[in-house]
Order: sequence, then structure tokens, then C-alpha cells
Amino acid sequence: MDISLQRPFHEDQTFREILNEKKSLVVFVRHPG
Amino acid sequence: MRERYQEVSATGYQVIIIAPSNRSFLEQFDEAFGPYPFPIYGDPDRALYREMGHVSMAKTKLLLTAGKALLKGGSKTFLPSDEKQQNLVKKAMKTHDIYIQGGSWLFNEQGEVIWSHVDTAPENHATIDQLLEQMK
Repeated sequence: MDISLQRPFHEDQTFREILNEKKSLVVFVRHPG
Repeated sequence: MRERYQEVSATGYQVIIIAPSNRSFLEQFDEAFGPYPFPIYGDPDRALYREMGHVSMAKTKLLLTAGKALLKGGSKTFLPSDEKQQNLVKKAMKTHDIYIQGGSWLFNEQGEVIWSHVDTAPENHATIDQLLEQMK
């Protein structure tokens, strides 16, 4: 949950911060595109 | 997902995409393919993938599947026609761990997993209709 993730043009955020206590659909892709 | 984002968003769930990419690649990707109505986050070390139980799939099985698709549909099966986009996808194929399992996870407001599907093969991903059914 505290793993840091990179967002283009933004600061890093932890996964917990990204979920932000909201109902979330998280999709892991093998590669973009 | 982009084509049916309105339907998904109407369920009240926020949509988050995780890719095994670094920020620099995702910035190039955003410029070539964007904009997207949902955020895409990079996990270049695949730390979150592994924490959630995603593993790298057998290369021979994936290459066999890719070979069959290539024979059936040609390179357009994998590559977009736009040159900039095509170069970026080729770069991803060379630089990313494309053998890592994809998957879909639903979390409630407490951050608890309420449903998940980890792909056992590239063609085994959850469809948007399956996701919408779970998000009711």
C-alpha cells in the first residue's frame, strides 16, 4: 500500500494516497499501448 | 477502457491504470496516445504488481500466442498505424517486462479488495462488461 508510483508530469504518490479512500477500479497492464 | 470510461465512471468507482513503465516513458506515451480520462501510474520495478501477487508468465507460452496472432492478423495486430505511436509500442516491447501478469482489482473505500482477476494469459483479461457487473 505504501509503494511509491510514478505519474507523468506529477510528483510520485503512494498507492494508498492514490486510492484516497475512494471506491477504485485498478487495472494493471502489461505495457501501455 | 477509454471508449467505455463514461459507463465505468458512472458506477462511482475511480479508474486507475498501473503500467510497468517509468515516468519518462509514460510522458512520451501521454503525448503520443493521450489524453486519457483516467490517470496512468508507472511501477517500473513492478513492486506493486508483485505485492498484489502478479508474476511473470512463461515466455514460451506468450511467444506462441503472439506468433499465432501475428500469423492470423499481421503486425497490425500489435502495432498502431501512426508512426510515432508505433515506435513507442516497439520501444515498450523491447524495454518493458511484458511477461508480467495484468489484472483488474476492485477496492472499497476502506482500501480493502472486494474483487480481483489476475490474468492467466494475455487474452484472459476481465472484460468491461464483467467489471461493470462486479461494480453494481
